[in-house]
Amino acid sequence: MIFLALFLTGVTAGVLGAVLGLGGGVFLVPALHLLFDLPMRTAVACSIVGVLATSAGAVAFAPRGRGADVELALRLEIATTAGALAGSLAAGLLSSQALGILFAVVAFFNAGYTAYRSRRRPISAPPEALFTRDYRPRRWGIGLSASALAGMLSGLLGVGGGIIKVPVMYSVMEVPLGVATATSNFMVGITAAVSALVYYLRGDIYPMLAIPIALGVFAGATAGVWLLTRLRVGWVRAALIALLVIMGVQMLLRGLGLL
Amino acid sequence: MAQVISTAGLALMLAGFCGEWIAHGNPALPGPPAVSWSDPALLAASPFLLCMSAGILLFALLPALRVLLALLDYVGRRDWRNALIALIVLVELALSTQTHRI
Repeated sequence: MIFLALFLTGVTAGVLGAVLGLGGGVFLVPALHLLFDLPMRTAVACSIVGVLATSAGAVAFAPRGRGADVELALRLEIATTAGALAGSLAAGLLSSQALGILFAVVAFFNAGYTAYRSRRRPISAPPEALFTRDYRPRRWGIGLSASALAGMLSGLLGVGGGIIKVPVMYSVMEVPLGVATATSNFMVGITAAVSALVYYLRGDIYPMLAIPIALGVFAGATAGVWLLTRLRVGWVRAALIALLVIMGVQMLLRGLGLL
Repeated sequence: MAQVISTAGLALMLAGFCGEWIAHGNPALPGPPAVSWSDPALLAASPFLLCMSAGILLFALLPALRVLLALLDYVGRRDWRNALIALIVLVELALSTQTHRI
């Protein structure tokens, strides 16, 4: 019965992770820790295997023309990985409270800017598509800086960088939302691979716990990719803004020592 | 290629998990940790645990493999700029693994 519950938790995280480009760790860690009473370290290790499964399911089985922009992903990944490296080296210099508040500020700014940009769009403009190849990423400086910040925060706070990268790619770099989520799924896989190898070699990954979750996440992510091609941009955008606000409030409370 | 490796990883995990479940009924959780190539317990591990561990390892190596495939693709197209970017990501990944292990 517990395996079925773990599988279904994985399916939910996989669908949400693939649709929003977040990997799924943001849902899996609290669910495994709070619902299944797993120690935090075990929950994070299982969640990382889940994030790999989201990336594997969402990237490998994306329909043609609905996949990641690999060039964009690799360029941003240079900054993300450098940020994660810098974060791990600067871990002793910054308090987790200060980082929590910084994360909240970035999340609120992203939510506000994404909402502002969608309202600023002229009524006469053609309907916005989730996927198109007819775009050119803009404002690389901000995109690369935000990716470095995402890498640093993910290394120090244990949250995936997708929550920052998707809105920045969409709102600031003007990448279509579907392409941004697919690209983020590709990137979170690369970032999670490093952590997964480290946890694996430390003996922190328990297959009997991680595999039902990974199988569920894989199934959910594959379904999520299919679903993403059928959703409206407005729904995905609204879900992203809501999640940014929730994460921002959670990190702000943690930063202020109230959580 | 990525699809083949994803499917192989998934099949190994599923086979190992089902085998372990059938062999031991409802096993006590969390069960044994995944075994790595440097683990002294490797030789004594059950074949089902080896299958599950190999499946997880394939999933963990898949993103790096995707970057490597992109690198080879760029080199084949003589797109040196993107090849250099992919190479930098691979080097950063290797460095990150070392830094995290320390």
